Amino acid sequence: MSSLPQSLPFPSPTGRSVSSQDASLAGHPPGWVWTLAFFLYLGVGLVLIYHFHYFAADALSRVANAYYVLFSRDPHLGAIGFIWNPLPSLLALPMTILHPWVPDVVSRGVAGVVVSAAFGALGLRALYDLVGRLGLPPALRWGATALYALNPLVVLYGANGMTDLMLATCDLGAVNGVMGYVTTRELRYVIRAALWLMVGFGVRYEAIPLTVGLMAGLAGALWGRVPARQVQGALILLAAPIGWAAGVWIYFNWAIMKNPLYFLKSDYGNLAQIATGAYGSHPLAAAKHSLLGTLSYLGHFTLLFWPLLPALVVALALSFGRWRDPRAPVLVGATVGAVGLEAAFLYLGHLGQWDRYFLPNIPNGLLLTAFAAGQLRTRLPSRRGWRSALGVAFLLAVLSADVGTVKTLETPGWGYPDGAVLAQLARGEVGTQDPFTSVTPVVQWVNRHPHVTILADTFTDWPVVIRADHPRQFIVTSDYAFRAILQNPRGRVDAILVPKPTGIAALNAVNRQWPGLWAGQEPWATLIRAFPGSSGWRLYTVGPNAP
Amino acid sequence: MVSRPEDRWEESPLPWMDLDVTVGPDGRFVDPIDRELACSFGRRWCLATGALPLGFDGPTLCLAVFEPPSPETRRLWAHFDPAPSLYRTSRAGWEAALARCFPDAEDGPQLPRRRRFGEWAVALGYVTPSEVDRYLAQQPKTGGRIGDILRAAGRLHGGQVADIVARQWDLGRVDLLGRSMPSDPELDAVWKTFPARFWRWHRVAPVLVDRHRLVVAMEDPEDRFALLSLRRQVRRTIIPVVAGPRDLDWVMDQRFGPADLASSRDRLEAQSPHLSARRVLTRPQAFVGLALGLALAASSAIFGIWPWIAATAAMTLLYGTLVGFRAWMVILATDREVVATVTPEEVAALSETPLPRYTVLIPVRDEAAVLPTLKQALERLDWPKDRLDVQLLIEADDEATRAAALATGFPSYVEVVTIPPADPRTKPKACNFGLERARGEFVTIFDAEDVPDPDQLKKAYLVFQRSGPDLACVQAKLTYFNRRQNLLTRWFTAEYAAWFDLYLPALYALDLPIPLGGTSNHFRRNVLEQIGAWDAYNVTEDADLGIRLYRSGYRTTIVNSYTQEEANSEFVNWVRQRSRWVKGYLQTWLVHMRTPRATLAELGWKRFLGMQAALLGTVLPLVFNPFFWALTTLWFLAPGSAIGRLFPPGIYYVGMLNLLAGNFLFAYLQAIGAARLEQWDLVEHSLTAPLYWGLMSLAAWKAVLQLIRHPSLWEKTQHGLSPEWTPEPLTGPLPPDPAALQPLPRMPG
Repeated sequence: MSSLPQSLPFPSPTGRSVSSQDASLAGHPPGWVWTLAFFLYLGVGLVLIYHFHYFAADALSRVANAYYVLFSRDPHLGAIGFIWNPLPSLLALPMTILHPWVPDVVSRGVAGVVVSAAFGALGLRALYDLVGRLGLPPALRWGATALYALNPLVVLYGANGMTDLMLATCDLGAVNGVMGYVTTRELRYVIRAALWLMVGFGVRYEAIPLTVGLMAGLAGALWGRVPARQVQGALILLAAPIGWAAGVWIYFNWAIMKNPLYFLKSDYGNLAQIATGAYGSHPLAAAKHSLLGTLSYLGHFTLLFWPLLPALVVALALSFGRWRDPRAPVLVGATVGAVGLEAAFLYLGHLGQWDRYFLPNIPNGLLLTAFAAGQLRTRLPSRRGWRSALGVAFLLAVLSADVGTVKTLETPGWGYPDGAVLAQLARGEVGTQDPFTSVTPVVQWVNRHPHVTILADTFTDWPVVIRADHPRQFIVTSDYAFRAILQNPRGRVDAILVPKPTGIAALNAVNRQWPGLWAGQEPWATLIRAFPGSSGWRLYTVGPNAP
Repeated sequence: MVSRPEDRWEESPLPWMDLDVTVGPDGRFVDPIDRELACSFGRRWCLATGALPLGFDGPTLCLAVFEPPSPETRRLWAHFDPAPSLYRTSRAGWEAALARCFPDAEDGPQLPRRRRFGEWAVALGYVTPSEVDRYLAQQPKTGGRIGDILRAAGRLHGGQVADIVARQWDLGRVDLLGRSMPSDPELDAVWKTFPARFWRWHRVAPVLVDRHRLVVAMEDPEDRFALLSLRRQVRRTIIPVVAGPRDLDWVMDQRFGPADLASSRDRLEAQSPHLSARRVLTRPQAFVGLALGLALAASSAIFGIWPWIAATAAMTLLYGTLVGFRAWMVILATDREVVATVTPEEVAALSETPLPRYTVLIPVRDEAAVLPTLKQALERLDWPKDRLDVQLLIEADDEATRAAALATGFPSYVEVVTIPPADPRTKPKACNFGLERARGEFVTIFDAEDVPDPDQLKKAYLVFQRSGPDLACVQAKLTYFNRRQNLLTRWFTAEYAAWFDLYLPALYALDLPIPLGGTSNHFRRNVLEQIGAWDAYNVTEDADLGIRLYRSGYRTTIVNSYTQEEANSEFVNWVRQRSRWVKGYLQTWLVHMRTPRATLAELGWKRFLGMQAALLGTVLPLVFNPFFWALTTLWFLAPGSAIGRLFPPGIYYVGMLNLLAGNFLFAYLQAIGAARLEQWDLVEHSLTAPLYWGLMSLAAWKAVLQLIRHPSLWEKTQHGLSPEWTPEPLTGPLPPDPAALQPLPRMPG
């Protein structure tokens, strides 16, 4: 059984690695753990899809983006889209090849579930390493890893194809790397951390503030212990890959979308969606331009893992002064950085009400708690009874934090949408989170008329496109001629599909180009069919007098 | 640490031989021992070495041993060339055979011995008794003979040693320096009795011959092997006289100089003409190139732009693969320690007594300025100086360097070798010339401006010792001491760090061919000779040699020792050097792809692909880069044009990502290399390395053009441009006596 050395796990001033010490602290769990976790999340995902008819719309939309790359009228890589970070879609892309034989990989988003399950399982690997680095013995490492793996929100996001747990895994991987570097000074760790951050950028923009936080943490850990040049060099090594990835992303936005900040300022981007007011709430309104409100909002979501705040206080105290521990600033930096973008958007009023934004508080809270427990462990008398009691207390804290996650999500007005989701799943309700419910009549009509070419903005109409039998009968947003046909549809398309212009559907390209079309106010368009359902889709034919 | 005899048997199993006298088919007794031969060695020698001479198998002396010879014993045989064949026998059988050879148990020395070397040295007034005592006190630790030790320490010069040896053995003393060789057919016939290697190795030269006697000049009249071999072959009484080392060098140069020159130039071509870079392209290669060009042209006529798109796609794919492979290699190397590691404790524990002779070849050209530093670096080498054979190889027409070398006052173990003027004027030709004269069991090369870690030879030796005979080369890492001179040297240092600290170790870890660096590679001399040494026509003979070693079934490793060099700090000079490297890599690739099937058969698929990645992967991205940069620019400036059609968006974006990723990876890998070297201040400069890549591409295109026009032109890199000529660390062990740093006294006469 490994135990924390009495002295801090920091290398000697020579800067040479302490591999044996590292080996005793870190270490991967056996491969079957990863496999088991992967199949657990995948299995839960399939149950959610096929039994509960639960779909996370954004996850499906990412799979749809991969689908357009291969199966749209203009197959090309650019069809993957330039608003969301492309990695989840890129990873799903190979699986979408199976669509002609196994349509569910796309039409039910199974490809996305595979990706999120794989990331979720990888996160356990990093977490297991980290808890060891923080000085907890194997029994507690196993316990902490299991309790994290079974946290309800973690299970849900490992199983639903969304990117939030993917980001959490990148967070864990990067923290593990930085922690490995500050404790052993072996270059490979800082490079691993840098690669995880780059992967994180491929998943979510939140990876940028996370990088900033980790850079601050790394600098804090090294400052005064190594020459300033080395601190600077290590920071460059850590940040360069994600900096490059961001640069490439901006470059491609400029090269292809003719706007380097297209991902930020697009009509479809999160900022535009938030601006419609569709995702507002009272707590968000209270936080806008209010430091107190912002802190209160952030504080509330620390309850997703309630020991986070007290453990953060411990880590902050050990980041400075006589008892300074190099691991503490790394954990503080990661915890703050992981929600940094949310904090900024919250204050500026650009944040949506989604609870999942704060999912990284769960792994970071667990790490902080493990750190605090490790610190206590070194300071307690070395009697077995004390240590056993501490171990039990630690596991109870993590277990209660898992329960606390559910309780926090259940808070009305805060736990959107997962409070309701978990409650519905707990009650065994089926189909309450199914975006395809209102799509079926549209899809049936389209499949009965395969000769009709239809222009559809996949920003909102993706459920129709991925469920249609003949995707090439659609002219979709990523097609080269989409914009031109939208503006001059006569003779180039038979019909136009348009949703009711409320909420974010107001951002639909058809509604923006032809604001009166849905209401039948365009003289060149004739209504073919108004479909029932909350989206209020209508299909108009393009007349000979159309522009 | 000396291993137990029973362990050593297991390390080197020997064939068994029974030494009992047997009855032959004709009824006569047959003794497996050649008694005359055994007597000529003497009983004392046999008892001291535990070996009984059996006879000769061709040129090889056969010895019977009853226990595995210790390293110290092997050291006594070091001057046998070829190395003796050993046969194992029982102790009882060995003792019985010894008794048969020496029935009166007397050891009759061949030469009378009167006074010891030290006594004569004092008597002749060359050294003081206290000096003799001091160096004698060192002798048990380092091994070696007192004459060699005093000479290596600069207390005696070669002529004085010869004087003493002549007095000691009561032999004649001959002065040959500057004398022309007599034209005597009989003497010529004696010379031809043995190959040049024999005369050089044993430092012996026939000077006079008649029907019954042969007078030979030699440095060491105790070299029984040489005397015996001569007596057996020449069948005359051998009369040794003593000559100084420079006298013998003079004679050897007179006798073998022209042959050495020819061999240094054409050795590989004579041995394996298909591996020589004298011709850039073979006919089949030219035909394939032409056919590909014609096919592209013809298919363009039929299919329009599509063949070009296909070619572009292939280039993009190749580019991505090569860059990706490089990145994978480097990440692999950061993940674990993949070099052969020798600890300072292991070096300290190494007994110097059994250490063999080590040859250091230093080709020098127009580099007079760096010689004082070189002298300092050599003096700090931690290897018994009496077993160092350093050759400073200077072209005959480089008068300035030659004069500077003579004026620098190198120690006696440094021989200033003059290479007769002849094309090609390349470093490999100079090294080959030096190899002909090399007397070391191991050979290494340093550049004139190099400052190797003092313990590098010992580290390399230890790696050889603990490896199998298939390990033919140990490559030390290279770095630069003037890294902070300017931006170019910073880039260069970071690049070298990525190459030597990450990429080459990763190749080694995956058992892939390693293109050697041009300096600080340590070889087993016999392997080097066997595979034809360096290709005098290849301008990166080091990379070529690395591949040839693997093709011949040998391998290379990297050792954790550094040699500091001077980074090129001047742009034009840098371009010349870099273009030579790129040209050499292309030359090497073309040479080894003349017969791809043979190369594949010798290397196997894995190493074959590794070779492609190591050679093409280094050069092609540099050649492609300007092409990609230019097309990317044109694609934006003139969308929809022929360029746009050549790059359909799919290929274009992947190609562009390749370019962006390639540039970033190049910079990032350099940053990792700098960090690995703990040169943290270079990390920030590595981020601007894509500019450096641009310069490399410029040099690459110069190389491509030069390969067509002047394939074997060696553009010499100028050294000594750094104002901060303070290599670090120059903190290695000093020679035992500070007095040894004094210059070697001039030879009399």
